[in-house]
Amino acid sequence: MSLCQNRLQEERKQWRRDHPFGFFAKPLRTPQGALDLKRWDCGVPGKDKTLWEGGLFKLEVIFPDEYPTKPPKCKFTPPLFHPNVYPSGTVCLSILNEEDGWKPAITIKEILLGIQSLLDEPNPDSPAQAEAYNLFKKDRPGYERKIKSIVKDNPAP
Amino acid sequence: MDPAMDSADYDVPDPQSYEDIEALINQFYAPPIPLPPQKVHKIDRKLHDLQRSPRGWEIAERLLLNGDPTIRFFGALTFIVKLNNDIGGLKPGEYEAIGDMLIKQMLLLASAGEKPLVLQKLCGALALYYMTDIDVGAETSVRRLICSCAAGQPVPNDSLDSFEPTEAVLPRLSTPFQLLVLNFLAMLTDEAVKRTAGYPANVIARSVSRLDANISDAALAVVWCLSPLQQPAQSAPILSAAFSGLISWVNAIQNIWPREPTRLAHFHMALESTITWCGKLDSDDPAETLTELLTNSESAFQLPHLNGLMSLLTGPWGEAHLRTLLNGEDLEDAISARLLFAFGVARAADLVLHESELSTRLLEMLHAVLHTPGYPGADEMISAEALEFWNAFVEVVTDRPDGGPWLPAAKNHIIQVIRELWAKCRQPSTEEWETWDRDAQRAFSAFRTDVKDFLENTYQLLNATQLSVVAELCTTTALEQQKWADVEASLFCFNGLEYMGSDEEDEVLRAVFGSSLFSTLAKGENVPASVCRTALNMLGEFSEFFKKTQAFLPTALDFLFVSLRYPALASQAVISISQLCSMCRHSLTSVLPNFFEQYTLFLTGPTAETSNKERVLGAIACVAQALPLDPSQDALSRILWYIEQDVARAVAAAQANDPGACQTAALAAMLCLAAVSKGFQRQDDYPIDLDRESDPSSLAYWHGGPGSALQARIMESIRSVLLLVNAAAAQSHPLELHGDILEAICVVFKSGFCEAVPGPFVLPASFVADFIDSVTLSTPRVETVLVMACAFLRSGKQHHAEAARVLVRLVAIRHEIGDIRAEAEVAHCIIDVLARYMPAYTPVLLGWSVGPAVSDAVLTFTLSCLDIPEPLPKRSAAAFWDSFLADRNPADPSAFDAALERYGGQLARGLVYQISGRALRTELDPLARPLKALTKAHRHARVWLTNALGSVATSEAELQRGMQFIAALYASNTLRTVKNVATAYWSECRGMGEYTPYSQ
Repeated sequence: MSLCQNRLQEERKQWRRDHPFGFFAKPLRTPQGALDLKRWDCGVPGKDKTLWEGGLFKLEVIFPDEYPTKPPKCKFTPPLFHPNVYPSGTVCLSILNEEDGWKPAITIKEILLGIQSLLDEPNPDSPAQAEAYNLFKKDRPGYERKIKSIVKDNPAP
Repeated sequence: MDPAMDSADYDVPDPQSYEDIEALINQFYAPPIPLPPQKVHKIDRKLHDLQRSPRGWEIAERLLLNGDPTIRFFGALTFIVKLNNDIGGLKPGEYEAIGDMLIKQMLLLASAGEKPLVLQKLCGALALYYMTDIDVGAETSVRRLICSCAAGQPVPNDSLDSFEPTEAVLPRLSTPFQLLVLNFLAMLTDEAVKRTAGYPANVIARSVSRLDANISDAALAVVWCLSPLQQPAQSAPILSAAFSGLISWVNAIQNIWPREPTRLAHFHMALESTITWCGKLDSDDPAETLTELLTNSESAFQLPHLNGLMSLLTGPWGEAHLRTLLNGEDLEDAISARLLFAFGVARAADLVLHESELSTRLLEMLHAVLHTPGYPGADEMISAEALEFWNAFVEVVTDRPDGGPWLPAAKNHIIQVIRELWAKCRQPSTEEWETWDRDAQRAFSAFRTDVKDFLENTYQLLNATQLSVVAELCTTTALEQQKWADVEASLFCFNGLEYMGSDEEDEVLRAVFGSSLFSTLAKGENVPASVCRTALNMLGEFSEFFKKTQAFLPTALDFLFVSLRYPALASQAVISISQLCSMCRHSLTSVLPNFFEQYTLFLTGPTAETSNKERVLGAIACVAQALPLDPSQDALSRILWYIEQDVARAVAAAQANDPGACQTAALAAMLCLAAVSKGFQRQDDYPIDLDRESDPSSLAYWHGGPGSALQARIMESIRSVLLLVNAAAAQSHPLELHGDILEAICVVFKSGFCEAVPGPFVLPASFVADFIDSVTLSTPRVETVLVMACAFLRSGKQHHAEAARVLVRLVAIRHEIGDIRAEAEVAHCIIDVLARYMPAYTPVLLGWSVGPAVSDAVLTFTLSCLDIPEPLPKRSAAAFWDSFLADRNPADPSAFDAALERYGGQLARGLVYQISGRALRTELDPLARPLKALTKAHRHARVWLTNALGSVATSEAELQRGMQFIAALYASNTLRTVKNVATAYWSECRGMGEYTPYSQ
């Protein structure tokens, strides 16, 4: 089995053994029903005592063949309204950037926790979508109303 | 407080004697009266300075002789500080002497009954001593300590050969020395493992090799100390330390040499002893050790060990522990259950594939633990951990799609587990739930989520059988007897199933949805809110089923609309209503009148807040859209009536000078209109009604024909609301929700742009252009309007006059901006709009209808954005020029060429300016695109680029490097190579450090 597959098997085992409250992460299945370890269906809940509390946001995590040398791509489905999420849904986060903060030792749990923190702590130096970034920067009450509405549409069970 | 005084007050004088140092240590660790943090900090600094001073070694040795264990502890700590930092200055022979001294002191102190904390620290110091850069026989460090313990003094390395073999020496060690050796063993692996990641390769190789050389001696010590045959039997501390030693060595070996079983073989005997101790020792240590090793180093176990564990778990020891659990005792630790799970996970494949008496018994036990009394997460943690085993079990089955004779039995086990998990998912009463703390509530919810995951994993395997199993649990009896926890658990489990749409599944679901379930719930008598919430969720999950099986929809929607009136249920009901109405719109048209009644009723209730209103009205719009043309318009007319009520409320509130109520009603109206416009979007997956769509008067129908009355009402609502907000803004009473209102209007427009054929929300282009033309830099959410303008330009090709009006407005906003960096977001949006002019409206952009001044302002503006650090406008400007250069209009190349001649030099300068080190690394890809296009777009491009380099280079060397870059650029054929060339040049420029950063 390849390094990538081995590592993903291990990640899956570790996740089952211990994962943070309210999150989910599991490999998707191919249309034929086989497990596709390189594509995971994940959910990140909003942090308590933040605007995002009560929401659960789904994303797909796609692992390249070179994983863990290269980082996975994390994509909110549907794309999320957030300053650091590209219009395609892809998350812009330093630990997911091969040339920045990615290290092969970073686990799926750490990635998802990192994304959870990003929700309420957007990085204004690294805007990825104009819509959310502009509102965040220029009209904070409007931004907060919008987030509340998004949380309402994506409630945690 | 004056910082100078503060500092002086807490000064610590230099110690003049060892007594002074000891007093300082005592003050630090155990002050007679609590000291202020500043003082503690100063003492800490002073002690650290002493440790790091050249006298540190001597101080450390001297402190170890002190009568006070705290002082001796600090002495050991000082050795660690020195070994970590100060071994470079030692003379030949001094390092060896330190080792001798450490061992000597350890032996003396261990014999004298030293406190474990001090001995552990000294063992840590000795382990560190053997892992530093200096090699002093680290390969025999374990044997040396064992022999020294036997001799009662440090044995020189070169005398070790004269000693008996280690296994013969070990029985001579006293208990304190056995403990000393075991402590050292654990510390040695810690130090070695620490150095296997993040260190230079030579350090890693050295540490690994030193550890490797000690494996056999370490194993002999662990095996001896764990031997159940020792007489007299070992003390509890020895066994406990030996278990720790076993874990640390096996795990270290497993991590460093994962695929080489030979080294682990040294510990086989110790594993065997540990299994024996499980049955003999009244302590959790052996079971915990086995659990840990099975979890992390399963390959250390050989078949005899596994057989031994199987006998242990299914034998009297395992049975006794299981009984304790089922009696509700020992739920906190439950170590036997954990060992059972760890063993089960390790042996999952064997348990699935090979049935035997023992494996059957073990599986029965694994089922039985799920009958432990109490709620998972709140009363017991075992059920949640059991899921790990059962997931592994399912995985073994799903990984073997071809099945085998074992499959029926495996499926039966899974079905049994589903029933057991269902029982565990049952919620407590609301009263009991409220007595739980937050952690317990969360843990119980997390368990239920994990069960849902488990059900999803098994669904592939069981399909309709699984639905039947869950459906059986949701019996009519439970409903009739109002066993709500049972009903809720069944509905919850349903939500975990993945509906694939097979006939068998439909049959089961027909029985469930055709039962009295939803009508009972809709009556709402004594039904807990949690049951209704789960049922609401279920309706959304199975919308695909309802799409196929329309007969059950009305009952389900009745339940949903009833739930909508309850604050605890409304938000979930709204989501399910939206899902069902959107997906099953064609099946619901006949009940639309009922929906209007329900909506009217809902508006009078406590849950009629804007967010619910817009979603429900949007859902109703979905159903209205599915009707044939005339009834669809009648329905839309009725929907618009609701919206107009809110507009009228807003107008009335404005007249009553109540801006708060005015903006709330205005926003409600526009959000509802936006939701309706989205609901009215045509469904891509639904066949086009050719008779209706191909009607050539279709456009005329909406713009001037019978449909125009509806459009006029839509536009009138928008106009009225805009008048209200603009009037408020003009009176310097800007409304807080002004931006939200404009955003909602933009959504209405965008819904129309997405349509392929005319419809009620495909509004006249002139109306949209009027709206965009009213925007200024100070308009709230001007960026959102500009994003909408992008969609407008993309939506049609015939609106040249409107496109020209929008262009003039963009230039006006650009002039309002002044400093681009201060309004980088707006600048970015403007350029995005400009890029949308190509290709349909390129002539407009190049000044055909608006004149060259507008065109000049636009192009100059985009070039200015290439000269600033802000990433968004820069990225847009690069994309704009990439599109521009790709859009050489064959019908009129002269206008393109003229524009390029005029701006090519500036463009080259902007690109070179960024690529020569100013851009961020992530911006190079977008910049490389127009760079490549420029090299192909004009014969003068090379000259422009060369001149640009001349203007940014600050030295001859830089210029040379730049020329090489241009040569490489022109030798590149693909975008990929251009990106590589640009990245290499950018890196060189950054490395040179001679580029001028942006002026701030």
